[in-house]
Amino acid sequence: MIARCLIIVAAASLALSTSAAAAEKPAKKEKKEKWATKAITDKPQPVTLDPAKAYILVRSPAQITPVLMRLPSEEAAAAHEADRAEAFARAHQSWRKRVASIELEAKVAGSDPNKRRKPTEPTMENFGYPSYEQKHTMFLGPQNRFSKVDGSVYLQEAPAGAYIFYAVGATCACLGTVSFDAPAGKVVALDLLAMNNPDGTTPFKLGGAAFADARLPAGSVVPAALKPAGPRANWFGIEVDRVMPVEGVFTYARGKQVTETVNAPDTPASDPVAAQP
Amino acid sequence: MGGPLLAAVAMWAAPVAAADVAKTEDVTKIIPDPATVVMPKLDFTETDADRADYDKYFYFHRADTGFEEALADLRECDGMSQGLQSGLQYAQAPYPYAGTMAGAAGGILGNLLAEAIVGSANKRSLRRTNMRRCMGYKGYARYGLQKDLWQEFHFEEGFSGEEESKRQAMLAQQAKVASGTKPVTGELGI
Repeated sequence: MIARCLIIVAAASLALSTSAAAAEKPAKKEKKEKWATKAITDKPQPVTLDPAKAYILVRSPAQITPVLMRLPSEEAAAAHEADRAEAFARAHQSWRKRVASIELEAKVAGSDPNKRRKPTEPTMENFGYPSYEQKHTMFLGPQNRFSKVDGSVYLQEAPAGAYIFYAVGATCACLGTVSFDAPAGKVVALDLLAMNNPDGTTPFKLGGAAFADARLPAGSVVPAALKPAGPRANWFGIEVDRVMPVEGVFTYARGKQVTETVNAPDTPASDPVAAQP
Repeated sequence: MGGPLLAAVAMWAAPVAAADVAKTEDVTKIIPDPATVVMPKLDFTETDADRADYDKYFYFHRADTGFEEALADLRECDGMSQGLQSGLQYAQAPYPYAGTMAGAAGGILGNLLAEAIVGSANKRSLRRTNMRRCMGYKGYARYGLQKDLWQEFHFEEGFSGEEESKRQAMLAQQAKVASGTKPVTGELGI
């Protein structure tokens, strides 16, 4: 009898919770942002640039595997946050069901539900959801070079926007990196050198590159203007290091990036605070 | 018979009651009173064997640094040193076993063995590297310590991680040392 009453109450609650869930369900998004990049390889023909796309060129003395990530615009960040909240709501609902199931099983077995081990409640803080950057990662090299003259040059077609340098191979610039803008219809060029210091550190030396190649349209190549972008989480679980100070742009004070401006005292870089993972 | 059915129905039906479950406090955000944190023992008589192990067993210190600041720095660097990869890649079974069922089974076993033998050591080594580099860049000097003393307030992470509350308690002790009196022993560098 008690069991029957429980079923009726449970079924009624189920109906209520499902109708409430349906009411809370957000309207389906019209269009998802598409993420795709393409390597431009070493061909003798001139390169035709898509005016709607950006082109990122990385030059290094050796064959390397740079990892770049796109930074979100305000709109993209809001959309990503909405996706995260949606995924969190699903995860939380699933947790609630699991806990309810454990408690009911305990009741049926005649034991104290509070003494049963329950899964940790997901919160917005501990909820594991990939960041925007992780979802917009670009892996370059070591093959598919655009040029092999004086080292290795990688050229990648990508959506226009702001990008960060994240890693080379199994070492990330998690302790301090840089960002740069990649406007549509332009080739943004940067020099990248992975150091191997005697003290065991392996920082990265980056700078805007003056690059010329007859296959690229005249006036299309611009050196990357680097900006301090703060630390990033060690998303890949690899060795950590950082980008070396860029003269006239930023330096480090006790591990934090500080902007360097001519005839002005050092001030903490604005981006790093906002960029904290 | 009714038990599983009841459980199935209630699984969908009692989310409100489940939401009342007490939330656990996030131990990674708690800043303990430094007066309550036990200062670990750092005095020991140095031997050649101790010196040979200083790349593994060490602690940090920085002048003009408060407990809270040191704890924040240690937590940040600890975060950079968690969930690490062993760095081992999948290795194919060699010819003439490549492409055969026996080769595939042997390859899987071989890779599991390699991961078990050196994977954990690689992760522990990588954790040390990341901690040293992260704290070094923040201006903390490194000092050697005897293994037994080191183990009292440090942890290593290979395949298994340390429980979060224990981890945070040890990080608090490390912060107390890092913000305490300057050690009289020599600095080791990054």
